[in-house]
Amino acid sequence: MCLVDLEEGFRMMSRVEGVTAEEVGIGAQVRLRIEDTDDGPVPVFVLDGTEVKR
Amino acid sequence: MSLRGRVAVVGAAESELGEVGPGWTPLDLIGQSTLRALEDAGLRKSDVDGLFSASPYYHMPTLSVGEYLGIRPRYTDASTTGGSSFVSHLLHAAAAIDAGLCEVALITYGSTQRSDGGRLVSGSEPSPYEAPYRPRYPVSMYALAASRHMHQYGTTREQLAEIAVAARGWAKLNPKAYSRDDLTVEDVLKSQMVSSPLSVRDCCLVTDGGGAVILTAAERARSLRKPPVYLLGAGEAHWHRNISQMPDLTVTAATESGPRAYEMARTGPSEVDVAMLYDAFTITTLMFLEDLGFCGKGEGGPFVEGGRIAPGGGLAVNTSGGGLSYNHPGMYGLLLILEAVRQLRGECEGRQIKDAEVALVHGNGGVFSSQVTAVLGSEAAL
Repeated sequence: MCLVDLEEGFRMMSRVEGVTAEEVGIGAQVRLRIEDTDDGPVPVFVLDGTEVKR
Repeated sequence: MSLRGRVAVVGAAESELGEVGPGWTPLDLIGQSTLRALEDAGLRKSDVDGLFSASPYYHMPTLSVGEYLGIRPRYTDASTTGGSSFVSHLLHAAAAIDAGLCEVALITYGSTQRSDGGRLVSGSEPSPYEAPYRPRYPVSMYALAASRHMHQYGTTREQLAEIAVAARGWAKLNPKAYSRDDLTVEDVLKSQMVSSPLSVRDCCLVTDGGGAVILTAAERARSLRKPPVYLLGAGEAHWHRNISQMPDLTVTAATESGPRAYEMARTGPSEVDVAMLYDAFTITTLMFLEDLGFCGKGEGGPFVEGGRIAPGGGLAVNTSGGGLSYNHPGMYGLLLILEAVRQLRGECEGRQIKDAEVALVHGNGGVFSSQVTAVLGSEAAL
């Protein structure tokens, strides 16, 4: 569970998928992905692979 | 016209605390603490004409409390801003008394959450924008703020642990405190992780408890049983409800409520003899030390090192043992007020701060959402 600042100008709670919590640092660049769940589609994020200083 | 010194706390009492066992309701604890507070003040139940309460148990708290106690108030206020509600009620009650809308105000709260099964009883509705990610309300939200503070200012888990250890040090001096066994920084670091970076010892207790505070105008207060504890100033502020809408995870609205309270009280952090800072988690104490001006922003970690806020340290904080070690019955705000009143009356025995004249009470509600600061003072502080 994390908070993501979007370039579009707002902040949202979400999750970074496909990695352990320890592999996601504050400031990591992430990209949106829509995940289908039993409760419907949920916006999540995946690592973009590049660290940016915020 | 300022409210400074125009209204005073004249009665204050806890209910039974800790684990009261089956058969007790939150209203029973409210009744018990109210009778004790009335006795403390030397007033009768029929004197109460202003009623203030908040509760996750009762949808219309002052109606339930009024019915249970047999009080028919002419002024009623169930403003709910989470754990800060009762500090907020101090300000609202003072304004109502000063405006002549009531003469004797009762603020009261009770919870049996430990006996009910040991889980936080919360009326909080899940946010549709946060619920899909299954945060543990509210600890995950405070963990996000702690992570950010560590990232931005280099705050360490050891420094947060110092806050839990300091609270335990005070609790050992308070016979009413729930947790009084030894606790070290190492113990906190090794305790079970709840929501990284906050371990179970970074989190407040889950206990039963309740309390009551009675206020009246300063002139009448001087004729009552105990030395009056004056409301010198108070301020409220809130900027968000959900953690994803908190503008900066390391800065709370206490940066507004604090200065408002200080301005009305004509005082500042250097004049405060004892500070009661809502400690739902170790990170809350740390951020309120910064936001209320006891140290600079980002300096909370180094500030608390070396037992600075523990017994014998430079600043007396949460002398009851706080929500971390004394008692945290779901919402802690009312108990903050009780300890401040006891300190200013000189009733704290082994943990008494010598010549305490000015006490700061800071309530927090929601997820660092509502911030309410009050400054209380003895006759000498007027």
